[in-house]
Amino acid sequence: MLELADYTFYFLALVTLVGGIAVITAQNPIYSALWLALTMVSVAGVFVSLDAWFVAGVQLIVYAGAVMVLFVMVIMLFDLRRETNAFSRGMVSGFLKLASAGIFLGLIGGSIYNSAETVFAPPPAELEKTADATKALANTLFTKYIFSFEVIGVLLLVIAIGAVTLSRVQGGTHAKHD
Amino acid sequence: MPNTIDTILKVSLNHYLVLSAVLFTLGVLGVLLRKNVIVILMSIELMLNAVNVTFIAFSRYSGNIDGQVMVFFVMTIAAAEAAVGLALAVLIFRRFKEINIRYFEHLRG
Amino acid sequence: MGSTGHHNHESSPVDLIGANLSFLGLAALLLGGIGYGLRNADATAATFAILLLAPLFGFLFNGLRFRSKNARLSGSVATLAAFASFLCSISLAMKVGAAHGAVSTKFFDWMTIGDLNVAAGFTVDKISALMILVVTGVGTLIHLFSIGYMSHDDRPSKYFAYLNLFLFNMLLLILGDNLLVMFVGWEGVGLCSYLLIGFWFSDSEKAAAGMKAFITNRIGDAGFLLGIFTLFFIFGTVNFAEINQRALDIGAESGWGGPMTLACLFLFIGATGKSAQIPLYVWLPDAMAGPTPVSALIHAATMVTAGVYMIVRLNPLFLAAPNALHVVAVVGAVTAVTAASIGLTQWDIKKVLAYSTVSQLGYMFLACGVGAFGAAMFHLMTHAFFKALMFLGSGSVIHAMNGEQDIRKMGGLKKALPITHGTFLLGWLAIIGMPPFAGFFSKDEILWLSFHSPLGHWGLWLLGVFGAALTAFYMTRLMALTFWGGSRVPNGVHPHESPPSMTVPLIVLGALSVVGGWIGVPHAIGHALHVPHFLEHWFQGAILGIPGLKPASTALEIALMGVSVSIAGLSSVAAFVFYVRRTELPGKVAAKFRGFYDLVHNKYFVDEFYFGKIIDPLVEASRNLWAYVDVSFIDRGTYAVADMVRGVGSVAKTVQNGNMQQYALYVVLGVAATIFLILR
Repeated sequence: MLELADYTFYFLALVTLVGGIAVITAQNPIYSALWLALTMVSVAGVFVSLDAWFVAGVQLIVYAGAVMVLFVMVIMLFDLRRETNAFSRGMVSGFLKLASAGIFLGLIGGSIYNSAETVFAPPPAELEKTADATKALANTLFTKYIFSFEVIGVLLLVIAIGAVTLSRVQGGTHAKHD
Repeated sequence: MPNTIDTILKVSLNHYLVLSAVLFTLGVLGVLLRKNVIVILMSIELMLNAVNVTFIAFSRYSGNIDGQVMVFFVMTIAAAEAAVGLALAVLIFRRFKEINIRYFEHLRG
Repeated sequence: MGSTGHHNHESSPVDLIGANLSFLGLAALLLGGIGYGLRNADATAATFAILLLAPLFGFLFNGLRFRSKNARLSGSVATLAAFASFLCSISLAMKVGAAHGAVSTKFFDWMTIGDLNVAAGFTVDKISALMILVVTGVGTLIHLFSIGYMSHDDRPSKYFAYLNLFLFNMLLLILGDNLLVMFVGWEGVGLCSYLLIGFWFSDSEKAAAGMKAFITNRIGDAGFLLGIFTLFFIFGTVNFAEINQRALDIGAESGWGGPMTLACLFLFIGATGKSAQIPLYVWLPDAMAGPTPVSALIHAATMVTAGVYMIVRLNPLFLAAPNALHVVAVVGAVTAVTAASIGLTQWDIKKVLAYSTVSQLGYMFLACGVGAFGAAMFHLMTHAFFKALMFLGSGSVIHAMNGEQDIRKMGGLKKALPITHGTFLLGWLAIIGMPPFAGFFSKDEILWLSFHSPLGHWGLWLLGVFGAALTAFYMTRLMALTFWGGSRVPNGVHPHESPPSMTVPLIVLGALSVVGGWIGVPHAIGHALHVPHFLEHWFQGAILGIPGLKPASTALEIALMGVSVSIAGLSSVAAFVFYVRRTELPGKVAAKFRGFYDLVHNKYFVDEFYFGKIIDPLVEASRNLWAYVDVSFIDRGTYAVADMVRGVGSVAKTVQNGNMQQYALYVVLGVAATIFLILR
């Protein structure tokens, strides 16, 4: 018998895929960005359906929040409008691209279809409660993966400086006078 | 055969993987077909999200918390990538007043 | 003198640095050579090293400071290098004499390819001992002479560098214990000859003479190489001693198609190129474009005798191929007469001497051809003395005449140039074969053996005597027109005797031209005077005796000697009468035999024949090959290939066009392929 959780999944999957299709087909980048936000939110829902509450929260804050704001800001900055030719030109190459993506999807889907039936087991007892799961996650992150964590932190710093350097405008209020 | 249909429709790991695969392919198509650099960056975000779904699904399936840690890292990288990619887009826009991916051809030596 | 320059004894700083560096290098290399010998407790190796390396150091020293105009410094270093080699030669010759055999050393293995093992090995036996003594001895004198002769030249350092390099290569040629080392020297002397003939290259005629010499020599060298290949094919070795031993083991081969005969003929082609014999002699007269001391050293005394030396070196091999020896003898005799006849009609003092050299080399080949290898070496030595003397003498004359070479504008120089005249007189007596001068003994031994040897023939003797008569005539003519009779010197030219650095070598060589022959007094005379034939004893063991040589009657030998000497004497007297007493006679005779005179005066039109029948058709054929084969066939083919490659490239380059979405497509395709491979 199908339960509520199954219906929830189908609903979320539908929203995610519709959102994804809309992202890549919308003529106006601002619509793409909004559809992407919707997709992000529904992916967060998918995470919830997999009992990953904390990650779902981060997904909402980082993606649907910060990254989306970044995108929208840039689009606003450029004052981009509806594009007349949103897609790359070339019938042959377009067909090739569609075909290769189809082949890719077919290969992966085929391999999933041929794999064994994999019903979820109930979550282990120590991860039953959300707070316990989050604590376990923190324990793993700050013990086993502490080095990776620090490296990622440094990477973010570098990226921040790099992005500023790249988009720095010559002149302006902070121009160097010499 | 309601039972068979039920068995097929009963959500399992494979359903999540199929969702992830389709979402990833949508991202690929976006990267391949769109001209606008910003939309291409968004498509890349789609692909990364698809991968995240896979991580979480496997994590849930195997009862192992490490998959969720990976998702943290992927999100961080994704944010960084978006920042740099958008900075480049800003540069391209400033130079050509348009952000077509073809302008990146000028980057070749 | 081809060019005029001003004295410049001031050395520039660069020059000084170069000189010091060269001195350091020279000292280091010399010490290295000596050290090599001492480390191996091998005085012989050290001697060899100094002998070979000293001229090379001289070359480096002068080559590195080639812009210097300091003729005195350059010349002194070069002369000292040559003299050091001469001292080593004496030491080695004494070692050879004491050991009664060859003295060898090996510096390193040059190459080992399959069966072929070639060492940088050097050997002095009795043949090469004589040769290095002549080369370094005469070479030293000529270096000394050059200091004075080249003092007004623009590039004396370069000149002395080439001269030392020549000496080094000549020593390689002589001392190499195998054909390949000899070939290196063979090519090296050819190069130096080319460089020195064209030394005044700004004169296009002189540059052309250098090229003619080089190209003609290349033809001979091709034959020489074929000879080496053939010998390696037959014997599997290029070592002289081994080749000679195998040839002895096999014995004489009859007929014309035998491998040894073939090899000998190929080698002889090489010899005709280097030693200016018919048909490749044409380069030597033109080679007189070089500075006169060069003509004396390279084109009279040493390099041109390399062919003779090579044949003597391989005497057991050539004796095993009697038919090849017949060819050598006939070519030698015919060359001797032909060149001498051309010498009768030349007006350039150096050209006369050049044809004389060709003629005398013909005698040496005649001697080789009749199996008288000892006599060939003997004549080589005496010829080196008197011909070097006469060339240097002519250099002295030319120096005195401010570069004039035409003997019609000389005459009566006896008074102005007493020393030159006196020494030239000795050379003249030697070459026409007057006893007891050097040329008499060597030439007479050749003539006698060409008559008496089982390999000889009275016809060859007749040609030889005829050649001797011609020689006497043209040399007397040269003496008469240059030194005797009335002066025809143009106004404004005031001949003067040369400085001591030039006259000393003349005197030394003059003395040698007198006594040089006394080491080979024939038995017919020596028996009565109790003078032994030193040279014959010296060569015993190194040079095979003539097979089947019967004891001869002394009376016959003396009779033939008398015939040849008296014919030569009469011929000289006739020339004296023609050119001193009744100077109107030569013109009359020439007018009477106009056609024949023109034929001889124009050197039998051999050059014209070569150009008309060989070179021009070759050029024409090459031009056609270029037009029809190269341009219209090969070029078209290569262009087609290039266009094809470009077409493929223009298709392939669309793959990498900078379109990043296309690149992403490749990535997707690659990932799909990878997944497919994994799942398969």
